[in-house]
Amino acid sequence: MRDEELIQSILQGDGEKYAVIVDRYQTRLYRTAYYYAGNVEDARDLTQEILIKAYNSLAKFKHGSAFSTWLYRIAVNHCIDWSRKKRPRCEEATCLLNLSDGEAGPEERFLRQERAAEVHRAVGCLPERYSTVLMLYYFEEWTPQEIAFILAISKRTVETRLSRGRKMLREKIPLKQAGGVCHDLFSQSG
Amino acid sequence: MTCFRSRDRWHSYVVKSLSRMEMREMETHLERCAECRARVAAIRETSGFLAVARVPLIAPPMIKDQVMAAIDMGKYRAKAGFPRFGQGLQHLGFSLLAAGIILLMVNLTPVGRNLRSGEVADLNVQFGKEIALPFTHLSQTLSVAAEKFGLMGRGQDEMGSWVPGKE
Repeated sequence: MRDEELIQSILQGDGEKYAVIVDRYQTRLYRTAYYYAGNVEDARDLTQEILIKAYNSLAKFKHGSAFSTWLYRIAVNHCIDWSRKKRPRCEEATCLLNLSDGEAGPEERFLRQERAAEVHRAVGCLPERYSTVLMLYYFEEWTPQEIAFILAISKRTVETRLSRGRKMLREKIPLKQAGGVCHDLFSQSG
Repeated sequence: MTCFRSRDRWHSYVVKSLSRMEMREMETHLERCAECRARVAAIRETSGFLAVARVPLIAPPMIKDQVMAAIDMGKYRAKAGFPRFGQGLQHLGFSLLAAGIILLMVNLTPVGRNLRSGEVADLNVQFGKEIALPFTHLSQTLSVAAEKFGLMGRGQDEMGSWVPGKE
C-alpha cells in the first residue's frame, strides 16, 4: 500500500494503519536523529517525538506532494530546534556505535570508526545550513530536488550550499588516508 | 572557476535526478569542459569518502510501541464522521445560494404555454401564498415568543395577523 493511500485511510479513521508508516520510516528517522543527537538515547526520543508530531499534523499533509519529504521536513526542523536548545554547537567528540561490518578485523574496524567520528565531527562543526544539506545529500541520499522541498528552499540554493559546504569540509579535513594511499579526498576542483 | 555552468546542477546530475533532456545537455557539456568534469569527479569522490560515516543503525522496536501507545487512534475517526464547523458553514452558504437560485428560476419560468394570461396570474398568486405561508407562521411564532419573554408589546392588525407593538 502506498504512503498516500495509508494516510488517506488514517484520515478516514483507521488510526492503526499508522503502525505501517512507523515501520516504514523509523529506521531512517532514527539515523537522521542520531546525526543530530550523537547518542542513541536522544536519537530514540527524537524519533518518537517526530513520529508523534507527524501523526498529529497528518491533516495538514497536502496530497500531491511526497509523504516522505513532508515527514522529513518535520524531522529536520524538529532536530534543528532540538540541537539549538540542547546540544552545544560543536562537540569535541562524537561517540559512534559499531559502524563496521562483521567482516572487518578489529584494527580496520577501529580505524573506520575513528574516520567516521572525525567526519561526523567535521560535518557537525559546519554552520547548520551547510551541515544539514551535506547530511541529507551524502548520508541520507536525498536528491537536491527533495532537499529543496524538505528545507523549503530553492534547488539552486541547495546546489550552492552543497558546493560551499564541501569546500568548508575540505578545509577541516584536508588530507585523509584511504586504502593505504595518502591523497586529498576533497580535490581542489569545486 | 571559469565555466559559467560550474555552479550549476552537478549534484543533481551525479544522482541522476534531472530530466532526460537535462541529463543529455549536461553530458554534452561535460564532454568538452574539463573544469566541470573535475567538479563531477570531486562530488563523486566526496560521496565515496563520506560513505564511511554513514551510520548503519536499526531503530529499536520500542520506538514503534511507544509511538503507537502515545498517539490518539481516534483523533481522525471523530473528524471523519462529522464535518468541521467551518465546513458546515461553507455548506450552509452554498445551500442558501442554491435555494435562492432555484426560487429565482421558479419565479422566472413560465408554468406552461397553454395557460391564458389570467390563469398564470392566478397561479402566481396561489404560489406566492404557498411560499409566504411558512414565513407568516414563523413571524407569528417569533412574535408570540417575544411577547412571552416581555421583549415587546403585541397586537393584531386589521387582517387579524399578530403584529409586534400593537395592543
